[in-house]
Amino acid sequence: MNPYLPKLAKVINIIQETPDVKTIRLKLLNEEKLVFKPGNFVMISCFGIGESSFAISSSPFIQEYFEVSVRAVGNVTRAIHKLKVGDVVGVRGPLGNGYPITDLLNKNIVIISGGTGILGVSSLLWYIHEKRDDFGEVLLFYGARTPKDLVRYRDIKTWGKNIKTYVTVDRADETWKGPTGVVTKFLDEVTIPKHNVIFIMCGPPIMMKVTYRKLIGMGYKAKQIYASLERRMQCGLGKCGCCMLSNGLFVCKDGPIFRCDMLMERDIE
Amino acid sequence: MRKIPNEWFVSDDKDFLRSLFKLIKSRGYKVIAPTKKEGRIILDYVNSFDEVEVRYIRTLNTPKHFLFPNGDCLFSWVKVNSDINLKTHVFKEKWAFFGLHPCDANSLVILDKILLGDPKDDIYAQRRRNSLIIIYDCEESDEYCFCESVNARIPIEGSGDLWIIPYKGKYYINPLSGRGKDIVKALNPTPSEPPKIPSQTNKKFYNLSNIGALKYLYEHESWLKHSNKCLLCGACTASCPTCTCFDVLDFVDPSLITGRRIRTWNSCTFRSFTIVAGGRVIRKERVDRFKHRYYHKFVFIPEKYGIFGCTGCGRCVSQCHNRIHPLEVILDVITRGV
Repeated sequence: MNPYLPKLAKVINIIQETPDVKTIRLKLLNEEKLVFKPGNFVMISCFGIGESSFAISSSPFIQEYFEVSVRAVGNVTRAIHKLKVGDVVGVRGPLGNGYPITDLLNKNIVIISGGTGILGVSSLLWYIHEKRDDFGEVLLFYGARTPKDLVRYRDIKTWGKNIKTYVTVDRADETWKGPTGVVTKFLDEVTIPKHNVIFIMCGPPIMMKVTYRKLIGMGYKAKQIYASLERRMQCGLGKCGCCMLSNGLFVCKDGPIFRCDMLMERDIE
Repeated sequence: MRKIPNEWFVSDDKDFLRSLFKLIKSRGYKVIAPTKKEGRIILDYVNSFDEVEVRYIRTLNTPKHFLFPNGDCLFSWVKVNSDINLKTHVFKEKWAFFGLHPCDANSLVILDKILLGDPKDDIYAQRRRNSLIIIYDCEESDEYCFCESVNARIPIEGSGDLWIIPYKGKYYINPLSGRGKDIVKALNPTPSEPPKIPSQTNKKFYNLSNIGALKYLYEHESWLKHSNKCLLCGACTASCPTCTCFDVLDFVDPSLITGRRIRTWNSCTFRSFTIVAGGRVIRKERVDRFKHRYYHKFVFIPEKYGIFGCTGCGRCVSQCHNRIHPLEVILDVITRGV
């Protein structure tokens, strides 16, 4: 079997999340289902433009369709933004290791995410939301540039019913009543469970770097911290070499979710 | 490293290679052999034994150029209204690589480990499966060769089907696989004692017994000095028989109806190699890109597969504008770092 050959999927819904982020709902053709674990990603092809990797941001309990949310920044993402309902794209996946759910069971979990980084943890948040009793205390810290840039805000409100959620923006507008500032400030302001705690972070490089150093500075161990990394990927199969880290691990195959003690600090970005 | 298998044959027939060539051709193989083009020895398709140059130091290209070609098609598509049909290509040709040196044959083992490991790269696998590998021991070497230093002087398991050593006017033949045995049988040579493996006199030996230290020297300052000599041109990766990093591109035909997705060779020395959304480059500094290749070949591949990712063919040195020698760089870093 040719591992580079995508399956075909139809666009069945498009949601404009923010001025530059759209959520695309896809359904595989021929009644096929995409069974995935929280944290898996897919490669999406726009034939003639190219292929890129995207985190699956819908609930792993829904198999009839799946969603990716895309910020238009490059060729493929701009092409995805031009898609209309009924258009066909190529899909390869699910790829990647996914979150180690067994390591998270009965733990207190703190999720720190910034910007579109929320998409890397949203399948996990759906999982926790659905199986809430399997986990201890769960906190979600989320930061975005402005209130208009809050991605999947309606889902955040849904999760907020049984997950303690703290949202901040860098620059508030007249509608914003919540906190402002960088997301890492919640680590100081919010009481974090003392024991049995796991941190999961996904966001822009600078946020990951700062969060990691801050947590280590607060006395937490690298093995308590999980990072969801983003790298350029051509194949998603551990062949093309583009996503190889400084310790030889592939983000696509060995990751994208890594326990930080498995990483060199320079790669946590 | 595998021991030399004991089943040896000898032939004192001057035309042994010619008969072997004819036999392979008669079995329907398309023969790829070292041949002279524009004053250089390259691997290319040949029709007759007269075109083959068995005495050479190194070919400009490598088996990779055939088994993992630059610009390989991954699949093609046809758009009909809103329907898309995808087509993957089936490769049916039988290839025989005639006269590869042990280093290049060993490079296939590394390609196999990378590309045939889970998930299997079927496009490479189809070509590899149908390829017969005839290894011809090198009669000459030069100052860039260093196969002995990286344990690649002798064909390792899975590298080929037949190993031929020319020695004092005779040909010693060692079948390395069932296919190789089959061919030897048809030529009917005399069973023999294993020959003495000729040593390569002008080859420099580098002692890599401390290579394990390299893993802990990633941040060592001496990398900077070496990387400043590197132009990041990518000649080493393109000429390397074991470099497989690639880029994927879509080509659309002018009709806009059909197109194909191809992979082109990429290089970890290029700035664009690790560029991500928003234009951020992961390995931004020259030194980061320079040492990544060394770590891949001499730390990551050995950790994963138990062999060096380098076979000592010397192409990266001979192609480099500044003649940067990987083992000299590594040994210098280790000496300064430990």
